[in-house]
Amino acid sequence: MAMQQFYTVTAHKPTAAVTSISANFTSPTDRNLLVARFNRIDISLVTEQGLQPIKEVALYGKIEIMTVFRPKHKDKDLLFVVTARYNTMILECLQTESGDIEIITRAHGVISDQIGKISEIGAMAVIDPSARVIGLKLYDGLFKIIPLDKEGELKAYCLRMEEVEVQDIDFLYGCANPTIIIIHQDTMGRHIKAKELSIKDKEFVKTPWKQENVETEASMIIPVPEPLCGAIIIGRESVLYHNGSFFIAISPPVIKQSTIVCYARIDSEGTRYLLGDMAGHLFMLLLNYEKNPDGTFKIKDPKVDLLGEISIPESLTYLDNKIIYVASRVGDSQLIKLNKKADQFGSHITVLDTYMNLGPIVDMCVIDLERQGQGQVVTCSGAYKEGSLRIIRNGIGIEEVATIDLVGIKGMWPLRITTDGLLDDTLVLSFVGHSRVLAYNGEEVEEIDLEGFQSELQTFYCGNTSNNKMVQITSASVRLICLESKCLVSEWNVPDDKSINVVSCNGHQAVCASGNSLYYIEIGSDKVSQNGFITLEHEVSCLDVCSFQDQFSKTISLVAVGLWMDISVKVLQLPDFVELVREPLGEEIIPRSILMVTFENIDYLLCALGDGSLCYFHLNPENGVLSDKRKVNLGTQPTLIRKFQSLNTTSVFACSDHPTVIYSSNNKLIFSNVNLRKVNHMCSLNTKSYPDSLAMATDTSIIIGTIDEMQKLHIRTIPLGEAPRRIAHQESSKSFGVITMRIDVHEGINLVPARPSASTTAQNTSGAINSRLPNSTSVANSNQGPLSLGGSEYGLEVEIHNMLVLDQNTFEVLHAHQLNSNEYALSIISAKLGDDPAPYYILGTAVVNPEDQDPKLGRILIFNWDDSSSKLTQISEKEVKGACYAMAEFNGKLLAAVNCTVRLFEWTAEKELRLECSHFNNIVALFVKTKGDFIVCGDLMRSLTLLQYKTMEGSFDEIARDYNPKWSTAIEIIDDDVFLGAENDKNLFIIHKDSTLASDEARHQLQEIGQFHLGDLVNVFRHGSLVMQHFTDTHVSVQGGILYGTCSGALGLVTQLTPKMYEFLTDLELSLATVVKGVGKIKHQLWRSYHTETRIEPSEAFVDGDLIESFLDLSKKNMLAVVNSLQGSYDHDFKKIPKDTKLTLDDVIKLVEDLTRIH
Amino acid sequence: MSIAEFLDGMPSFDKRNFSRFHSDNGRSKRVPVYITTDDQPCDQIIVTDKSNLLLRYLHNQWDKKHGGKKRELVETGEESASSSRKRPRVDVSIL
Repeated sequence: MAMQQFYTVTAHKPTAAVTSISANFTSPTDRNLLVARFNRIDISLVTEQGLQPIKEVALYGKIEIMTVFRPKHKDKDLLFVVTARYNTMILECLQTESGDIEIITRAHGVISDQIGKISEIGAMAVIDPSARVIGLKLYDGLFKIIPLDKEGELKAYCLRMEEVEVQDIDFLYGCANPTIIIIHQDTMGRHIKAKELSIKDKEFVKTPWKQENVETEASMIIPVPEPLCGAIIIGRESVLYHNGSFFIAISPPVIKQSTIVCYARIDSEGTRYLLGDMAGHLFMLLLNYEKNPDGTFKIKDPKVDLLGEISIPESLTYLDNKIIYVASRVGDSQLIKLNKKADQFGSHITVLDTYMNLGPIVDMCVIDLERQGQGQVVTCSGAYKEGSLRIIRNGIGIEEVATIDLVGIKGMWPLRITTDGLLDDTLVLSFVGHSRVLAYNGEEVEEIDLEGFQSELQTFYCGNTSNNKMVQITSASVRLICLESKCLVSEWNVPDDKSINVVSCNGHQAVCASGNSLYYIEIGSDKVSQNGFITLEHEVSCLDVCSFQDQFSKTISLVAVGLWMDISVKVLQLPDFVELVREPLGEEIIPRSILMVTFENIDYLLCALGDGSLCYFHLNPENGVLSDKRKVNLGTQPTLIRKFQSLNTTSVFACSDHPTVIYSSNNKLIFSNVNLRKVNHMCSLNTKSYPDSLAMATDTSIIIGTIDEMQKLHIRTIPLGEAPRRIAHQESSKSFGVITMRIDVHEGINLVPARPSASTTAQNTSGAINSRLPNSTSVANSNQGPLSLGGSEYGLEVEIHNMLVLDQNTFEVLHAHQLNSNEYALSIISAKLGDDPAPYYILGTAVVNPEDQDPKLGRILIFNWDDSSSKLTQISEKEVKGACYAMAEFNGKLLAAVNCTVRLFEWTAEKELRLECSHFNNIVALFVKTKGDFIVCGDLMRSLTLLQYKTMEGSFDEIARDYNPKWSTAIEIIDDDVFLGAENDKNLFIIHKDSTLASDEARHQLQEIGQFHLGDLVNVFRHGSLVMQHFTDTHVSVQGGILYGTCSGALGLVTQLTPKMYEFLTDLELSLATVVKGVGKIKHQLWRSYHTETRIEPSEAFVDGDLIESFLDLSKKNMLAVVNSLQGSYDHDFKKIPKDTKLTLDDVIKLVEDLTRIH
Repeated sequence: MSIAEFLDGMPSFDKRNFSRFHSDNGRSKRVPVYITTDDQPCDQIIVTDKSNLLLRYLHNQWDKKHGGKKRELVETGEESASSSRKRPRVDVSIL
């Protein structure tokens, strides 16, 4: 059996917030914001400028609980963290002498029990205000206590809690013994109860007070600090304050619309709170009181008011000076400011900043619009009003600031013509046979005549030089122009009326080529003079002049030359053109642009070829020696490479049909695509109105823009205002089909959208637009009488499903097709069926009645979208007996998963779907994927089944199945007999069909050959890649890469490894896991071990790319330690050899760098 | 108005915080990643007391009634009896 081994790595880190807290964590005086996102804690500092990120701390576990406490006699806070696998830790932050921070694990352990039913409401942890104990609610009927004021071992113990269904729990303030308050539920309703704990007896000893039958939907406790004490109980409709002897309740109408899910206490006296609800409303809660003469308190009616709208919050954190962090799990997190004065919409909120979150990624598609092997991912992200599409592509973002329409630009340079100015104020443009000068006056731009400037010829170079002078190099001469006197000072003409065709100039030195003659021109303060000449064996195709300092600070001037015909690169030393090196490129394409550049103190020579590829070398400037040649493919057309400065770093821009920015990070070159179509020329520009900008020439215009700080993935957001569920791309009509769900609200007999969103603002609409309720089908299918629309229905929320058609480039919503209020859209594909040439959007639905266990009815709708007339036509409709969860095009037919069946439909000449055959052996068939005649079906709880379609018989044959139950959440086919799956327990698994087995019975069993704990829920797998296959000389390949999208908003990659690579990387992984110490002392091996309720097994056939890539974050010393503790011996190609390893640190660094470039 | 009253008393830890706020406009800086190779000495280990809840309760009750004097005898007697008949708990949480 061929071994199948895999590498999985996060391409975009999870961004959904779990919780946020403020603390004095990094020092007693630092005010920190701590945000937990999946497995990491982002630590920032509150400063004058805003939030300053300090550190990102990754754990080997998904963070479930994060909270802070202040131990007695301490002046700063400690962090208490519980992971999804109940790894628990107490962390402290220390400042090191170098000003860096160190995270110390003060305590750690596993707090899971072998018995007990895990609470459905989720794990909860509360800490006694005096930091004596931590209370944990993990299992029903049990309350676990971790005592804190102990030395040595912290022995946690469980208390029996007779209240089984606990909604919320917290500690009360001002109690002699730790006392909790709970909201619990029984058949009678919900009640609150205070329970006092005896640490000595390890028991609840008494119930100081309780209140039965509070609001039936009371859900949240806010303990009130001293002097008031007691607690606020938040319900769906009411706010209750209770302290055992006194209570007061109000029922503010503003909170009724949704459910309050989080709060932030603002002041230490406990009078001011912020509340956030599931619809993204932010409320204030004011609990004022007066002190009576007898020492008791007179509590006034609590006041609740709406402040405005925010992202749907998971938690709220008051930072300082009316500024609040809104952590969101289903949308972007925000930094907001509260204003006393309401704006024109009545909101008291200003959004200062937003923090991108892709989670939850519900679905996605990978498209390759330019057909160059580099995918863009379009995700269905977010939920409810935070729903959006996100377009993710690898590269750097350029934000266009201005454009000027101009055709035929052959070159451009920034210029400073105002004497003694510091900023650029002019742009010189070159065209065939003439040149033009544009002056910037604020944002205005005008063409000017610059005296002394030769505008009748094509310019090859223009730029400032010393003493308020400028150099212009045209096809005929090198001209020195004085900017003060505005006249030509000196000129060097090409001998014999030849014309210059290639030039390089660095301001004081120029090299000009005319055919195979090469001239060296020195540019003095008031004279230009020829100072060298050479005739080369071939014509010059590209040139670069650059100065370096050797170790004695002596200047070395080098010229790099690319030649026509022999396809080589030469390095010559000025002034005499001494040939230091001639390096054949070993290519068949002529070099078109050459550049010497220094990144992070390493000198490189880059050479772009006529086919869009780029060779690069390390350059030793002292002897010109070129080494470590590598090659990447950037575009498909001749490429021009130019240096530029942005954000105080030098980078290189490769102008081509695939513009790329080349920069260095951690001493490795990064090739990052730019979000522009085609760029012919570029230069940096730094004017008053356009500081730190780039000017880029396309075929028809100049674009001025600012560049993102170097980043790998560029993300664009298309807000929808409602939740996207599924997406399909249709290439022929240049459109996307997207299923969305919005919330409508009953208002009398009509349903009214809760807010404007994509489906309500579409250019065209069709379907059940007038949502009158009840419609006939819902009445017919319900056994109750006609729906009454009395007071109880009013305000009821209803889910409305739509199919949207969006333009693939502008993402405008062109059309919305609305379904009936009881019909849910579940799946969408774009496909061609049978001999019918028209592409269709095919929509699978379910009619949902609350009383049915499974949907009994569904539809498959077939639409045609005509992009020329922007018209959506319904072609056909087929009723099916259940919910159509997934569909796939299968040999011209339509495959659909309908409840427990997999069905195949034929497309008839009459344009109707006709059932051909079915397969019945599932609980609920949720996913189908196809390859050739094979079908893989993912079941709700029965893992995967492999089916084959028998063409002759027209029937399905169940070939094999995985008999180990798994609640699958996404599936994908890797190749004919290897399949990838993700399950509800947050594992990835690989299933193999072994055809070599002897017995029929054995062959019918799919084998588990790989397993890995990802920790995150995968909702979707798609074949594709976020990067172009740049590297042609590497050990790693992303062929057959599969991208995945998760609930926490992560994008990841699973790709196959060769056995040799797998062997090496497993060894490296193990070595890294030993050298790198997990925060909270969790072992890497445990984190990645396959984990379900019934099984825990070591991970198998997977390498954890996240750990492998952390190699590059290590110091050289630690890198060496990792390489030295490898178990095996390897040669330079990572092949295992019996003894005496030949592997160097550089080999490993190079390999890991390559691995970082596959995503 | 309650909102004005509410916003009037908002605390300020340091007046300078956010006073010169500027948005990064998405130009998010790369945040340094915490990675450590140091073997930290561990202060405390959190363990779970696995004694039976009911037994602990009964012992407590016994203690209260009898002042804890006879408990020692009872407990040791019981433990030796149980250890002969029951297999010790297998700790599967350690992988």
